[in-house]
Amino acid sequence: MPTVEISHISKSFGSTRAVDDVSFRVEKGEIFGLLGPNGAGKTTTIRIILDIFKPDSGQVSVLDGSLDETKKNRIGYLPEERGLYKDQKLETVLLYLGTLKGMEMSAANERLGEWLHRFDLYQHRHKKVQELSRGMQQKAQIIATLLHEPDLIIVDEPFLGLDPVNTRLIKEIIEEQRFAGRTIIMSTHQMYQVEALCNRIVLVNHGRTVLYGEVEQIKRDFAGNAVVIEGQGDFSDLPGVLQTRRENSDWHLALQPGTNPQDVFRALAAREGIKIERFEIAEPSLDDIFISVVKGDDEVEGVDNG
Amino acid sequence: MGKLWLVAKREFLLRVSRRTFLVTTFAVPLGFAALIAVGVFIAIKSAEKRPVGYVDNSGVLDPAIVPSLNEIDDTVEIRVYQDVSVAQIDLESGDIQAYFVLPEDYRRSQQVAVYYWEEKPGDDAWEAFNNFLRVNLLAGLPEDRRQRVLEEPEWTVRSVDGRRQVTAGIGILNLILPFIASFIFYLSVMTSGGYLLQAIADEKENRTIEVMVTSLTPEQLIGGKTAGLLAVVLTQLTVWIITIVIALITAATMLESFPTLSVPWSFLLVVALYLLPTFVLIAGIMTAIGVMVTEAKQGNQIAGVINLAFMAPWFLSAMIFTNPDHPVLVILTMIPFSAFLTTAMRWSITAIPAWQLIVSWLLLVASAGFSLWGSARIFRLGMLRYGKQFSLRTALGALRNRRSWIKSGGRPSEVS
Repeated sequence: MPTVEISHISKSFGSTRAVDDVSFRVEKGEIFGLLGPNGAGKTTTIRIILDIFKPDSGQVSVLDGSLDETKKNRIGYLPEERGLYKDQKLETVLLYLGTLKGMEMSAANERLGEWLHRFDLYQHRHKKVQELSRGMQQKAQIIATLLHEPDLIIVDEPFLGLDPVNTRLIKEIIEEQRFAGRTIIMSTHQMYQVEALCNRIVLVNHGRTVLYGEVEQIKRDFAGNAVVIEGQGDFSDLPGVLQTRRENSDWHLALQPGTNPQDVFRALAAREGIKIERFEIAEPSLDDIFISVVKGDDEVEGVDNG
Repeated sequence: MGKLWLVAKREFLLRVSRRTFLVTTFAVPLGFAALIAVGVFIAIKSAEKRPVGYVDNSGVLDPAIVPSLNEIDDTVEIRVYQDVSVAQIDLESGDIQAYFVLPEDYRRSQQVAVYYWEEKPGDDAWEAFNNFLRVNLLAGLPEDRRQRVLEEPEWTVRSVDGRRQVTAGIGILNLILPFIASFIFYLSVMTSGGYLLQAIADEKENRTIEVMVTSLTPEQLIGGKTAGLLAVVLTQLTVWIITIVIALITAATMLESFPTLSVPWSFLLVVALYLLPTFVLIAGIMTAIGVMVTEAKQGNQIAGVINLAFMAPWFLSAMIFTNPDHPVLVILTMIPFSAFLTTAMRWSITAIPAWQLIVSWLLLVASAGFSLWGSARIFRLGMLRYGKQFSLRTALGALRNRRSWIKSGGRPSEVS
């Protein structure tokens, strides 16, 4: 039984279709990436899962059925719009949020101490939230998400505003939670984090599912959609290429779906002032796939609309 | 219920630990106590206890006939003078504060002349001489008739239908109480309504609302905040009532002339019955405003206008005292906003017909329920509209039975 199952959900706000026939399953104990560009419908989808919004159509199953008040205690949510009671002491706020999730005060107190130590916030526990730095507040919010040991963790941009040390810490914690058997839905724009952490992903664009499956399988499917070139000359504005970027001495070209690397090679050969030392079909990064799919989808949208 | 209690507890502790609460709660009774103390001090200071004299040219008064202690407790000595000139010398030297002269034809004219130096004789002096005069005039009467005249008349006014009666002594209290009630109402209930507005707007401003609604229902959140603030109001009222009772007991002990007061239970019952639904009504309205505005400051301005609607009967005090059954006041009794104050103020002056009380209370309770229900709906719709104005039209849309609106959650601030 999947922890979360979304079946053909749609949601409109006035004339804007925020989510359009999206379906996916999140299995127990996996880290699931919910990806998409800004305005794609990710947050709306999360809010539908959490019953903040009702879908216009489609079915949502969370923790084996529809979401009720008891199940809310089994969910930890880190929203993109972060917020804590600023004029109150950190410890007071976190204990309050923990007890609202059904924890006993004594248990919340004990567990909070451990988390505060781990996040290096213990000595700041009596400070008002507004006196803490942005990064500290971000860490406090993550504690509030995990304090009650939820079965389902939904984190929207968990690495936002964190330095590399804390980013690594959060990454470790997310992995720990997975090992502990908890299910995690993670929405982020940091593709290398998705690549490192997620088992499976869904990519939504314009409210629709454009990619869904296992990360490794998706990468295999997209092999050939990117090439790496070493050489001299201008490698930009090639036909069939969505994006060209330089990494050290290499050029990485993300190809439009349907574009054959041989066509790119021919186009390069025909271009003046180009010297190619290496031309290699690359396994695309998730970043490349993201750009390839989203830009390709946008172009199709543009053609459709035009 | 558990989560509602948690929210209520937090809200209560948060508010009572604020400086504004401490100042409002303790400054008011301290001010009241100071006022009473100043009054007592002035009364004691100004009490003129020097003797008064009299010259009786009519032969009515007998110096031997003086009021007995159980009849009247006089503290001013009364001196008899045979000659006006001697009395005048004592007056000028300050030995006496005044002297009275009964003319020869006093029995016919019933006029008494009083002579004083610069300042009029004090109340105690008047009272002492009046009592002395009365005792002497009644000297020839049989004992029972004498007693009846000497004792103060005790009157009771009853309404024709027999539902209300006013006894001497509580008249002043009847007039003062509505003002005390409306003052307390304004200071406590309206301020707490403002707190609630602030609390809801804060949730939005702090961006905590999204976490809150994934932990508890909007009804639990709003209900908890309302209950917590109601507890704040009750705490404040308890402190004030205790202070008022202590102040009144102190004043009554220290001032002999302090009027006898009895507890106006019927008035207190009316206040208790109207206060709770009025508070809920205010809470609902303030919650809705808190959801609709983008920041607390903006909400406070709107709340000021709402406060005026609740305090409107105050501006019609003159009408309430002169014509308490005026149709305008009957209408104000029925309107939930003004029901509490209008009823409280009219209660002291007139016998409000039972049907008016029943209809007005039922309307108030119904509107309080509607207000709480409506605010929860508006809350659901507006909670995620960060930094965005919420039009009245949208709010009305939420109140109408349009399920699709509520289902859609309105247009969010951001679709991502």
